[in-house]
Amino acid sequence: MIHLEKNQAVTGDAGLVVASSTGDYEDNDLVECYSTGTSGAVGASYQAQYVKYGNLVYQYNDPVELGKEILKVDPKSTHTAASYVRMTEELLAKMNNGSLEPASLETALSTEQDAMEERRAEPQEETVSDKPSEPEPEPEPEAPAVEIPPPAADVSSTTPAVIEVLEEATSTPALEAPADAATTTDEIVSLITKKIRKKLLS
Amino acid sequence: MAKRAIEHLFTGLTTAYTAYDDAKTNLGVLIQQRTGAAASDKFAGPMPLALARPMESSVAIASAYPHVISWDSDNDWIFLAENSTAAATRRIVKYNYEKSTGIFTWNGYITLTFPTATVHTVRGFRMNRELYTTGTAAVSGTAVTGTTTAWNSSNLPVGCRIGFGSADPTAITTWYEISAIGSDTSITLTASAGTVVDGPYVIEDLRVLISTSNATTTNGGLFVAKGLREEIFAPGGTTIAAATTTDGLRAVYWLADAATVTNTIACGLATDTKDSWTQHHIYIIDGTTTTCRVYKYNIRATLGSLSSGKSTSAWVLTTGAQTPTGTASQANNGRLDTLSHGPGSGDKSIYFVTTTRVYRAEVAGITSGNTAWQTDAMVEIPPGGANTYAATSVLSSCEIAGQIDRLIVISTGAAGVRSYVTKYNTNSDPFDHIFLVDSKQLDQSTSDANGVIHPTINATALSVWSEGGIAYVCRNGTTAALNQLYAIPLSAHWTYAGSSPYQRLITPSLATPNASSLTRVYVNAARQLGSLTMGLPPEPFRVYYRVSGIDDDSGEWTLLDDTGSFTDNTPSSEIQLMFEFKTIGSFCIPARIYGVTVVYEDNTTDSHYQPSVAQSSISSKIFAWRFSTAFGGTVPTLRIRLYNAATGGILLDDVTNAEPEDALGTFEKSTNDGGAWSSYDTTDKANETTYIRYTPTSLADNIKVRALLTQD
Repeated sequence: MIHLEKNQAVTGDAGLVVASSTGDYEDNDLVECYSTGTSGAVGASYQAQYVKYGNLVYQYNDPVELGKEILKVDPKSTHTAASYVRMTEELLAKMNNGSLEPASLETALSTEQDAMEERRAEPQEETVSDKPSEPEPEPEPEAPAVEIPPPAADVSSTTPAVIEVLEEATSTPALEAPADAATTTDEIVSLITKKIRKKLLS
Repeated sequence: MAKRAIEHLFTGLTTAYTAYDDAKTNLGVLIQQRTGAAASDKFAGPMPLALARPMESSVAIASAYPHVISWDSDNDWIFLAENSTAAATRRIVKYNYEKSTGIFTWNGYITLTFPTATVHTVRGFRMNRELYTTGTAAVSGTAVTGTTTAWNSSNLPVGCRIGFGSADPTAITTWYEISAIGSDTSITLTASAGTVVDGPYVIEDLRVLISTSNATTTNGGLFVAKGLREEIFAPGGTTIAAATTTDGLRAVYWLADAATVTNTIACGLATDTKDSWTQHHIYIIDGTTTTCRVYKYNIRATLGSLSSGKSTSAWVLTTGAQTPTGTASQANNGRLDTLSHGPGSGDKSIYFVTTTRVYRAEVAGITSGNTAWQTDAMVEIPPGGANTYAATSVLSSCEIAGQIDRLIVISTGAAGVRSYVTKYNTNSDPFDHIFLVDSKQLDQSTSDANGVIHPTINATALSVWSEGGIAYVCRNGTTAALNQLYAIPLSAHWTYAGSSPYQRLITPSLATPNASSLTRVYVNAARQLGSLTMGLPPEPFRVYYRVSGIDDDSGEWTLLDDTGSFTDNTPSSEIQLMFEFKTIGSFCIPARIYGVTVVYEDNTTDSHYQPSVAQSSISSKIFAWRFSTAFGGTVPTLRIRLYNAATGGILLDDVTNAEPEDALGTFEKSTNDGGAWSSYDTTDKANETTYIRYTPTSLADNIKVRALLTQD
């Protein structure tokens, strides 16, 4: 889960800002962007994770490696891989010091969820909305930046409340590729549960 | 006659065969002379195998499906598509391969953001590079003004690079990125190029063409990333956005065949040559069995009605379905070209494989709704027939080695099955060559350094692109152990070495002064590379010679057998040797020739005899020689010439096998140190006391005589 603000700068590309609405996005959701020099005309879509962290997110094949790298630049990251690493490390720490209990997983999960809520509430640092020289982008009449795309609901340009996990939604790839960086929270919970059960039973 | 030797080491001057020079070593296109500190580093032969390891680069990316663009005569760009677990993005890797050094350099990668966020599997991959050089261009800062240019109407995208001062991209020293194309005569750069007077220029339009299948099937099809430039393939990566509603940007576009895509089972992607700046067709075979059909697109079409990066403007037509025999693979399957042999000779065709056949589809037959678009097919029959090698029945892809006008037919490698190089025929002739082998050696960097890299199958599918005679073979594994890229000088194979472009190694002219007969050729070559335990033998080579037509390269070559003996030992004052190499083999490790030596006899006393003073007699006019070295068989005919030592004039010329009426004297032989003399015979040396002697029938008195004994 990535929280993005409208007009937030795209990491690693100072000339691009977010055109899509402020909200929470799945890591792989496509977010529309516009160039600050093009009067707000949407010209590109990037994955939410790229908008937030730049090329870093495409440099690792292993989600654990990716999660660790993201946490180096953003310890409070709500990126799925980062959450996975943080929860795993928390549970392992409890297991190593003998404090792991059946309820620990639920605690870790709720901690992560609380963290996500906190991140949402925090003001975003990198936006251009307060720059006087950059006007608020006008949505293109034929392709509004916040319009829900027709049948293929693969471009997430809406607020999280609108993003239902449909058959084509971004959770699908994660189910097919559990080891990929696109792993969903549900899978993370499942993975951690399996690992913990294995440890507890051994 | 004395035994002489002339040695040539491959350390001297060289020239390309196209600039033939009999004073230098002449090299075919893929033949190199290498040097180095150790004696074994100094050799000549086909360019050694080279290796790259995509999964061990600074950003590990499992890669497959090489596509190669030749940058200049010494450098190729190799692009590879990501082959890891399906995901919503795919990365494209770029290497540079320097042929003269055999070094792959990992340049970096780009990440393609598809306009659909569901996971893609790459089925076909090509790069497309076109050079726009029409008209002239002048620059002032970031503003470029063209004269007789048509930049906008040629659908050139933003993001491409432009260079000034030459229409030859290799002559450009500084490239600039295009940030906007305002009109047919107006371009804006991202950075100032200063002031450039009106003159030649070049725009390099570089694109990724990729066909995918998708977890959500209707999200697959054809995607094109426009506006690329070589420099963005950087170690840190460059992410290419998904397109939205504007054409001509650096972005990934979805060239859909319909609002709801039906090109959902792409098998590969075959590209034709560009017809114009607004028309360039590509073909995608879709469907593996009963629904097998072809989709035709124009990748240079203006993309209208773009929505979320998707447009149907590029779709041209779809054929009807035609069921092939076997199952068409979805591993970069399909290659468009025109062969110069076989049933498709001269006809532009798409060649593709099913598990058991190589199919040909003439481009002229790729028409809308046509249910007979498959022109003909070639059954998999291994060399020697199926009783020699069982058919694999798992053909995976095919590539055209244009330099030798042959198909490279790759299998899946399952259980180590091999691959082929062959003509295309429909008359059930066996394939020409079977090559590669599953040695199980791993070529990762942690492997024993004493091993020898080679493109072993390792029960893994391979993919190949042939460019300039070099086969770039990628083992499509997804781990560091099984994902490697090799450069193999495949088209230097001896079967094709004598055809243009020549792929032979030719020595300079080697002097054989006063030669009276040619004896043998000795070649020093690597018998094994690597250590005693880990080493492997190089592929074999053949040696030819000629003694005439050396100065103008007109002489015919004669093949030497493995003994190195000359079948016709008629000498000349010079000799030249030529090597041809096997490169389509099991290990495909090219031979390395260190040096070559020619042994011959000159017109001084034959090396098997020594003049004997003790057995000669001035008073009786007898000339004797000790038989010092055995011939190892029947003694050849000997010839004696008696010269007036004072004037050099010849007094007598006789041979051992002269008819009695022609004989000018008598040859005799002794095997007991001259104790007894008997009639001459051709029996080889018996012992250390074997002598021969010659007594002329008539010889004038009071002259000084020089006797010369040689082979006839």
